[in-house]
This record gives sequence, structure tokens and C-alpha cells, in this order.
Amino acid sequence: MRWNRSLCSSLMILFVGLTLTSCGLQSIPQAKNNVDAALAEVTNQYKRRSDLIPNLVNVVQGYAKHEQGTLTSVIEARAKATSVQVDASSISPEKLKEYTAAQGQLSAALGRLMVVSEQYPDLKANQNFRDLSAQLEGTENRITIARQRYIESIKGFNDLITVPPTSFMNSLVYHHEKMPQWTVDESERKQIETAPKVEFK
Amino acid sequence: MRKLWIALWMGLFFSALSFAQAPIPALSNPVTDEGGMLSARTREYLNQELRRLNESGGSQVAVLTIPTLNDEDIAAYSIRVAEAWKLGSAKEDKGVLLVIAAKERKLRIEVGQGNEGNLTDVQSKRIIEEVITPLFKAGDIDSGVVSGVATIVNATDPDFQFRSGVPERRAQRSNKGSGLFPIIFFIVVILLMSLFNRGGRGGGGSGALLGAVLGYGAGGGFGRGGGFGGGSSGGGFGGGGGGFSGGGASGEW
Repeated sequence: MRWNRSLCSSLMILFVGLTLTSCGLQSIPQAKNNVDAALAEVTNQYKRRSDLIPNLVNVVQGYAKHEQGTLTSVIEARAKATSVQVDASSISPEKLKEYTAAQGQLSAALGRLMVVSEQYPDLKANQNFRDLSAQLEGTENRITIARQRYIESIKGFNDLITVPPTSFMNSLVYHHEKMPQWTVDESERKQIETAPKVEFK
Repeated sequence: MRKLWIALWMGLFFSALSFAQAPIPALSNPVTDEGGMLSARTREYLNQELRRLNESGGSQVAVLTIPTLNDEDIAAYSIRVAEAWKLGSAKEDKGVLLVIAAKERKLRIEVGQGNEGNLTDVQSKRIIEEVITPLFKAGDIDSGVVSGVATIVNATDPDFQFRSGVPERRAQRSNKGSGLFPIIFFIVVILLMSLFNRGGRGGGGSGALLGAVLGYGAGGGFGRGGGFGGGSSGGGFGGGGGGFSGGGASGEW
């Protein structure tokens, strides 16, 4: 009986000690969950952008009939971007790269569309188009912030599993590997550099 | 050794460069007028009303003016401020931030996560383009900010009634264009009512708005609108941990 109680209390002390000394027992899984949530937010915002596009294309089509080529490239880029899905639970660097590249192509196509639409005063005056532009602008801003937070969450996670003392707990209990940082890859960088700048007026 | 010193100095120099962003002021009042763009009366009035809105359990709305953005994008600056100030409670995330940059003539409404449904990107854009910037372009920053804030609150907290009443002893009327004041307010009221009552949420909202605009106008116009709340220098006005994820809209004038 007494032995039992002392075992209990020493286990308690061990547990409390482990949780209090910020050894990573809690913080590593929490950081992992943060990364998953941050990625979900990124894909959520990309999805939101993708949902806006059919309406935008419809409105532009009504005013800018001669820009069929630009419109088609937006539609195709959207179809391609929606066909690549990433899931936080089974994410691989290659898949993420493919996803970013597809979304980057869509960004470039959308950028061209917005530049083209600048040449149609009637379109620019259309309230529906103005609302959609405001939504698109807001969504692009959210994407930027979501990506930034995703990158920060990966850094936080990698810090925990590579920097002592929490890295000891990782090699002892969790065996996570360092996550590849999400960078803008070469193809996307090229697109960003060559794509015309989007100006919402 | 010398090379090391040079490298160190270079490092210091470049880190100083990268930190030359516009600073984030401390949050102690709803209105933070670093850019010196607002009259004392506007500050008093908005401080008093926005504080009351927050204390009555509504949204936490703040206004920040800055002299310059130092080449930073206004959306990037605004989210930095929002992340630092954490307007709104952690539970409800009902914060709104209105940032105005004097030199660049840019402004942004940054909407907290809990208000994104009530104050969408499109609504924010319309408030900027149809309420605030026309007044800014006419040179009336004070009316632009007050009407803008009133429209924002009308969307986020439709039940909130703005009171008339800037404490009289503190009231300082701005000299320029004071004759134009009532006319502009009248136009704004008509505009707002037609705008936001269309698919609207009943008449209560525009009543509150009318109260705000008339109340503000009357506070200065007749000089006897006071009587409520002696001073606004009450407790602190700290953020409650509200989250922002980039909702809102930007514009320029």
C-alpha cells in the first residue's frame, strides 16, 4: 500500500517535472498541430480564391469579348489548380511544390486578366466587377498572410525538434523529422517576376 | 580582425535598414493620432464612443494615423499593428482597425476574424471608396474618419447607438470649413442610408448611424450637446487577444 502510494507520487512528480521544464512533451505535438492548422488556412484561402473566379470570368466576359485568350488561360489555370489537392495529414514536399506551382500559375493568369480589364472603362465602372475585385484583393491579402504564418509555424516546429533541450524529447519520444521549409520555387518565382503587377484601382 | 569588424558594422547597418519600418505605437486609447491628422474634438468624441462600445461588450474598434509608411505596403503594416494590438477578445475576435497614412494618402480597414461576416471585404471597400475618401479628397479628414467609423460600427454592432456629446469644455472646433460641416454630414447621411439599408438588417442600424453623425455634428454646432461622460481618460484600452487574418480592404485618396 505504502509502496503503491510512493510510486504514484513519484510518477506524478516525474510527469509534472516533464511538463513544467518545457522539455517538448507538450510543445512538440502542439507545434505540429499549428503547422497543420496553418496549412489548412493556406489551402482554405486558395479555395476561396478559386471559388471567386467563375463569377469574375462571367462579368469580364460580358464587357471584354476580345480577351477570350486571357479568360481561357484563367479558366484552365483554375482547373489545374483545383485538381491538385494537399492534405495536412499526408503532405509531401513534392506534392506541396506541385500545389504551389499550380496556384502560382493561377496567380499569374489572374494578374494578366486584371491588367487587361483596366482597358475597359465600362467594366471598371460595373459594381459587380468592383465588388469581385475587392473580394479578390482581400483574398490575395489573406493568402499572403496565411503563407507567412505557415512558414512561421514550420520554423517554430523545426526549432523545437532540432534545438535542445526539446530536441532530446523528440528523439526520445516523437521521432519527427525536420520539415522542409515552404519556399517559393523556381518556376513560381519566374512567374511572379514576369507577371504584370496587379493594381486594383 | 579588421575584416571581422567591417562585417560586424555591415551587419549592424543592414539590420538597422531592415528595422526602418514604421513603428507600432502603444495602444492606450481607441484613437492613436501619430500622424497628427485629427482635431482634438474628433479624438475626444471617438475615444469616448469607441471606449463605450468596447465596454458594453461590442467590438473593439481602433483608429491609427501615422505620418508615413516608410515604403511598406499598407496591408503589411496594418496586419503588423493588428497582430501587436490584438483588438477584440480572444474568444470573439471582434476587432476592427482603421489605419491612415498621411504622406502616402493611403488607408486600410483591417477586420478581425469575428467581424469578417458582418463587415466583408466588399463592405470595407465600399466604406473606403464611398464614405471616407470622398470626404478626405474634400480635405475634411475629421468627418471622413468619424463617418467611416460610424459606418463600420453600424455594420459590426448595429444595435450600438452613438451618443451626441463631446465634452463641451474640451470641444475645439476646427476653423477650416466649419460652415461646410452640416452640409457634408447631410450628404453623408443620405448616402449611407441608401447604401446600407438596401438589402439591410432593418431600420435600427441606420438610426444609430444617424444618431452618430447628427450627434457629432450637433456637439460642435450648438456647443451644448455635452453632458455625457465627463472624461474619456478612464481605464486602459488594451487588446484582448483577438485574431486577424487579413480581412478588410485598402484604398487611397
